Amino acid sequence: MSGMSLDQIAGRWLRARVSRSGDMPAAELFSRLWRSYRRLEVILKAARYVSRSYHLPAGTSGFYAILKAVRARHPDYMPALEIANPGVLRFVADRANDAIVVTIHNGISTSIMEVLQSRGRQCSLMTTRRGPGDFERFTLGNDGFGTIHPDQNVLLRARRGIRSGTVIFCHADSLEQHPTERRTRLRIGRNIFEFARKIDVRVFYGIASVSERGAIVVRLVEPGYRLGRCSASEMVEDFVAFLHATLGCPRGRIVC
Amino acid sequence: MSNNLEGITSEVLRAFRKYTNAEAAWSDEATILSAPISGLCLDSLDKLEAIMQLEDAFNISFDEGDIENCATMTDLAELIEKTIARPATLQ
Repeated sequence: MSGMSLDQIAGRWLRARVSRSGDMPAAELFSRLWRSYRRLEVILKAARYVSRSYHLPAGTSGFYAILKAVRARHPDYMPALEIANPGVLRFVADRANDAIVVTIHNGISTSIMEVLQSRGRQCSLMTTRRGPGDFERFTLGNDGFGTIHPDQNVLLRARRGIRSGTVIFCHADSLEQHPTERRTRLRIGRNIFEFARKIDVRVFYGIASVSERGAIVVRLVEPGYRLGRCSASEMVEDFVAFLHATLGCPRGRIVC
Repeated sequence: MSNNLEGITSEVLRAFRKYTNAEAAWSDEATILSAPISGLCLDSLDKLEAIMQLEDAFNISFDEGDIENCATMTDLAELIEKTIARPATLQ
């Protein structure tokens, strides 16, 4: 094994596990591999934090590797989907006249949009990069959402979308090198919150993550504050606290 | 505030000037009016705020697509003039 990268070692291990799985149903195989991965996550994450720029402390790092390995044997396999708080999701899908969903980059965050779209609500994603993403994106098979590309008019386009009833998703994070430690951290920008205040649009927080059992968990939350009564800085702080609590990552991993 | 093109142009200049620091660029109004808005040091929030300020000042609501077609502040002043002249139901 000398000379192999951690990714190669993990890939070989996954293939071996899948080839020994016999007639095990795909869902059980995925769930077992996911649980094994979670046990090794500390080591894998530590390596990935240093070497890969767009993997987040959201437990999605090994998701694709496992999904690919399982699909090599069961091509149609789709992980289970769970809605963490269906009432808020139903509200955004059916009744919210205007809504911004603030989220962060990860490989499965667009699942939230796909769920809303499957319920008849048009969504658009404000992207922070011009070209196609440099990270893999998981799809539930309903990824025909619009994209709003970054330039001087991006917020004007977002306003137009909101006026026409489209739910606007925004990745509020950017990755930066920690100033003193050998790892990256996420910085949450305040522009999207300033924007929400300016045009008086309802804000929701959105996170997709992978559960202990290997299901994709989609979570939409409406923050407790009243939009007109707090500053954009307070809103960013609230979002950062939400991320720390929801993702269970150590304090200081996400900053504003 | 006058709703003729000259008055509108002054208001456009005032709205955008607030969000840019390049003082030197503003010394020649004719040049800045015909310069591309995309070349001003404005981020997307600055531009939105400037546009909303103009909407408030003239009590109008822009179509965002029309704004995107305005390459310069002169174009924007002309758009405002046209929008004001339009019957309110069409805005």
